[in-house]
Amino acid sequence: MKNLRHSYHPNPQGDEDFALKSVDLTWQEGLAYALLGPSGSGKTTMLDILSGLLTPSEGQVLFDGRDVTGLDARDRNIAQVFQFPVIYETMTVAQNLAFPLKTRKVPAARIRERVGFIAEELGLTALLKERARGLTAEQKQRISLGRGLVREDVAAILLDEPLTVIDPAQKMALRRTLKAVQLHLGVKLIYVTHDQHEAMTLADRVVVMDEGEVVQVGSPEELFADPAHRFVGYFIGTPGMNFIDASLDGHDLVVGPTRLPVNGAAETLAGAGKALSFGIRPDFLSLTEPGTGISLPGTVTRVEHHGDENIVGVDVEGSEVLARVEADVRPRLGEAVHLRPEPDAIRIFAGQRVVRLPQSAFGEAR
Amino acid sequence: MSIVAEKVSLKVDGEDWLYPFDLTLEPGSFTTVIGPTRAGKTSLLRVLAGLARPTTGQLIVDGRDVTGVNVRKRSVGMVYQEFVNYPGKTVFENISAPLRNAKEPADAIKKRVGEVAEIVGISPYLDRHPLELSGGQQQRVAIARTIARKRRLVLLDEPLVNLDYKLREHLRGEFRRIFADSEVVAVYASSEPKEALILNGDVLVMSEGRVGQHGPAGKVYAEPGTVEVARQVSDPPISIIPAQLSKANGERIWLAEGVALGSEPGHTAGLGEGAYQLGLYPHQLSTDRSRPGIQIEVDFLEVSGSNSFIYARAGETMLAVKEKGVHDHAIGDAVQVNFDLAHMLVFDAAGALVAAPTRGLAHG
Repeated sequence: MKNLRHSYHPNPQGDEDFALKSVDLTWQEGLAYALLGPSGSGKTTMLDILSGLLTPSEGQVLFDGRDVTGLDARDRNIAQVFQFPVIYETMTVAQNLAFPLKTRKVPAARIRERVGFIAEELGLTALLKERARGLTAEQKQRISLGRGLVREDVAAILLDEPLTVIDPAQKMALRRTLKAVQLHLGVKLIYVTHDQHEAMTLADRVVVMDEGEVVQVGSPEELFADPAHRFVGYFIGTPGMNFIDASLDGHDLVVGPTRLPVNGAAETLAGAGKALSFGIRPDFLSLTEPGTGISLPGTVTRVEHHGDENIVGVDVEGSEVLARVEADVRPRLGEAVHLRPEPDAIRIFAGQRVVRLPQSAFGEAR
Repeated sequence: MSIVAEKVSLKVDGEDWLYPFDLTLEPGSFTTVIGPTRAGKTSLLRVLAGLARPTTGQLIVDGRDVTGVNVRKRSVGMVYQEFVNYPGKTVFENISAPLRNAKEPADAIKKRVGEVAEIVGISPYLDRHPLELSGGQQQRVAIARTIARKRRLVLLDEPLVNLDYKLREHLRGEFRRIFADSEVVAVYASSEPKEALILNGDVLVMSEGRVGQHGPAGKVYAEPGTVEVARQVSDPPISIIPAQLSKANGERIWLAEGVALGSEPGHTAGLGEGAYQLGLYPHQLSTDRSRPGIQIEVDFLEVSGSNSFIYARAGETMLAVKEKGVHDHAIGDAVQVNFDLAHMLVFDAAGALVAAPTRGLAHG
């Protein structure tokens, strides 16, 4: 995708009229991707441009270097799986799987071979002779997927919230199948979802979208450990990343009531030019005694029990900061506590974007 | 207000939707009803609300039999999965509707709408129309309308299920605050077991039309009466491992499929040797390499929130192992899993709880 922009307005004026503001993205072979974002983030627009349902206002879509921007869906070798299974209810499972090959005039022997192979991959072998009508939503969704996979000419399979109508108890089995199929067949799967669980579980690379922009593309581990944008910090992880306004004073970063010496990176921060914020995931905060290195003082505002762990809310000069602690750490409401961030896990943002700092920027003597 | 159900059941077209149950809900309680789809959660809510008349039994509110009394004549509010608002009316008019119907004076209405809008966080939007708001805000309007009139019973039927992930996380954290310090009986149906723990009130476990264990969520989680309840309160699933308590060289050890898991922890000392089922929640299994464990192959990896859960098959048993943070393990990778026997639950062969580490503490 090169310099893509899209607006649904006939005469778009400013950036706010664009559902897709500026996208440059390469989808690599053999990887599973997830397009993750809240409703209104532009992910459906991206999906429609990929599938050929929508022609972008600006920019190009290239498949292996071939410009397909103007081609419609059927000429792109893209298969789609939707929220609701799209199958022929009166046909058997085998007939459903064979259908896309028949219409493409694939020889009968090859059809039998492909249908048998894909049915095996999807756990549908025992159901091949059954009519689709009587099957569960989960089984029907496997057939929808099979109708895409069965074609050998498919460049990618787009899956739009494919687990929405699946019973919670069966979701995991289907997720496992999707993962295994991707591993065995090396096909490019692109999921569109608003659910971080689905994206982080199924994808090798997650494309995070917010307000018409791709804010980060990364592996699940990267998005968790190194969010490039405040939105990623917030959207990935439960609870999301904490942010506290910060400012630079000489060689110290002032975060609420605390001064953090910045080892040799003060100039980088001074040059960032935008309002600074201090970011730390709740996972990397612990309750501590004052005077043991960096700590943020505050008062406890809430304690949520999550079984094996507690989420503790602490008011640090007007910002609620959440910490994820062991189940036996149970401070009282209103208690004065100190939060200790793991130095390696501190991230500094200028405006919305992360500022790249050396790992040792907040390292204590060790 | 207390609500007591005595021998209540519900049959529809000769089919049992709710088997006979007894239940007491105290004033100020917040009960999360969990169970898979078709467990009977919605039927239970409808019976409590008076929307469905019980086939047998009595429903007693503050000592008065209200079985069969129409929902309109009782002080009941409901919040549904779908955001039910009046689209042609402003948010203020939506929230104030039940107060106007009750012919409350205008200044009292204004004051109360202000209060509940503040509680649910929609104060800036009182002049807007619901369809101009996001899904989360629309659901807040519905909740505000439900609590605007002082209700005795508020029923919430999976109110967060149609909301975006982050909004669910946020609103879930607010529910307890919304109902804190009130005398209302709140009943919240959920298909996500972890909501019961987070909401931190009571939990009621349902399956196939049967009302099961009922008690403080933390206690039911720590001491599920049966394997079935343990499975229902744990998501990701608790690992249930067939095991033997055996004596070897004068020492008692736990064995699973012939493999020694470790010497026995204090809380199983009262059990006779024999066959049991061990219950270990995902955080009681770990991949900590510094401790002895068994080697198994990764069957699947799920990343949920800020945790990774490794699923791995050991013989006939599927294990679910929690790792903090986001990690990658491909299908087929080998991992070493060890068992926190000191915190495990022990069930007998029939599935009844016979030992839990908290039991001695809780019951003396």
